[in-house]
Amino acid sequence: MAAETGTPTTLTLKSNDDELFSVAESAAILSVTIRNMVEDGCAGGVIPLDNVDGKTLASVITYMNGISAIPADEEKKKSYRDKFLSDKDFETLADMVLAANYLNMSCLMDAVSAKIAQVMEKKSVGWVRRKFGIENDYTPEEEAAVKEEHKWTFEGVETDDDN
Amino acid sequence: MDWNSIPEELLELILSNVFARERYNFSLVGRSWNAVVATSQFRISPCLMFNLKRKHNNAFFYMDFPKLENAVIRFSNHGWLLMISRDGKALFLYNPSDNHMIKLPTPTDAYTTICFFHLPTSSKCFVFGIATEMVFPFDKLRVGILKHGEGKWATSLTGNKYHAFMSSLGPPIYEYGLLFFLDVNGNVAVFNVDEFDTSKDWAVFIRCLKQRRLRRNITEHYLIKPKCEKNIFAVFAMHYDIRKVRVFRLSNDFAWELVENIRDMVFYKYHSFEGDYSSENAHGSRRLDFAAWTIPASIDPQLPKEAMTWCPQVDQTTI
Repeated sequence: MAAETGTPTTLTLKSNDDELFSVAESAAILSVTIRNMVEDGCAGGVIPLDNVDGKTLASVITYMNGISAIPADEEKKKSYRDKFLSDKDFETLADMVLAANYLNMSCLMDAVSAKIAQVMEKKSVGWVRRKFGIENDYTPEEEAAVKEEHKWTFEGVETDDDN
Repeated sequence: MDWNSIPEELLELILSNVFARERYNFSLVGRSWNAVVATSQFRISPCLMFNLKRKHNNAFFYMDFPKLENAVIRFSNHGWLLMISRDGKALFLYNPSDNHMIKLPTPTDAYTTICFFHLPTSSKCFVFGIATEMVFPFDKLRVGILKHGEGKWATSLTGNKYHAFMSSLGPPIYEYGLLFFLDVNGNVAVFNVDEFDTSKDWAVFIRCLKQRRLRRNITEHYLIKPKCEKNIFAVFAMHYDIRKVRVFRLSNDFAWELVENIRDMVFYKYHSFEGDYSSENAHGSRRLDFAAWTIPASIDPQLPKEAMTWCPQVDQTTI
């Protein structure tokens, strides 16, 4: 399947809920995982992506196509990424960062992580726990110890003020 | 998705975008998140410290230090602040992350610039002060140095012919064992600490800014040595356009060369700002007086008592 230079090659990706997607090889190899498969010659038929669902994969492919259409101009790529992520809700971002991790796409991982970090801005610990669905597994003593260790970043800070 | 089973490297990536107060929240979320914070290379983030009583309208974290109300920050380095009481009588080093304080002998001169280099608990540490002599004909500089372990300041008068060097609030850069000062006219002076009080301790380079028009119009001037760069940089504000600053790089023959583009660096400069923090993100910072960027030292409860004792004979002046 090794394509001749200049001929656009199309890959078929399959999500874990059996949706099929066609994507240009030049865009798909933004994913190091896919690129390795292509280089190892395992990309002949359908490439199964067991950790990504169809909805997320559709988003990721939109991103792959969009970003690979932009010539090497980091400014423009950044503004594309910002625009691409601007309308994504928290659940989508979470799915996307996992998918980007699985697909090994560092530029998407970085951008989505920054976006998720933004979600935490000016929020209380309780809010972060609820939003991320993390159970507080500290004992009261442990929690006090962690607070003590980070005291200098805490004293005098009001929970959600920004006046 | 389940955040409880998220790969650690992803959490770490998210953490690298989290600053100050949110980072604190991050460690409190739960054990696994705290574990990521504890091992993260981004564990210690720079913080802006200032000790004004009123609140500022920016998103920085802040902390109140009631007992420091009557002191001002003059310099910051290695996570420590060099502070002086408002009456000028007490000089001390203070570490805001663990509340340690080292009282220092008070200098006899009121120095325009006062700074220190090396970690205060290290025997190499020294405090340095400089001021233009305030007595006619103003052709001398007063210089003082206090070394770790010495009970009093060593002082000397250095010649300053034709007022070649007009000292200012901006702290110097310490590099190759030399202190580099920038004066109000953009001139650069070099002080060799090892040659203190000899004829070889001081050299002034004049007309480092070639254009006279620029030299005469400097309103603000700062030295900075970004970690990633091997040259020393200067930032000048000129009075005919105070909103515009110019960045220069010091050439090997002591001339300021204009830098057109500092790429992704951001320089944080104010009189007492620590000189070498740069980042892609300015965090909405605005101008602040008596503030210092400080990178908290890692917490070390094993700090030996003697490391904190600079000079046992200091009288216990309270601030």
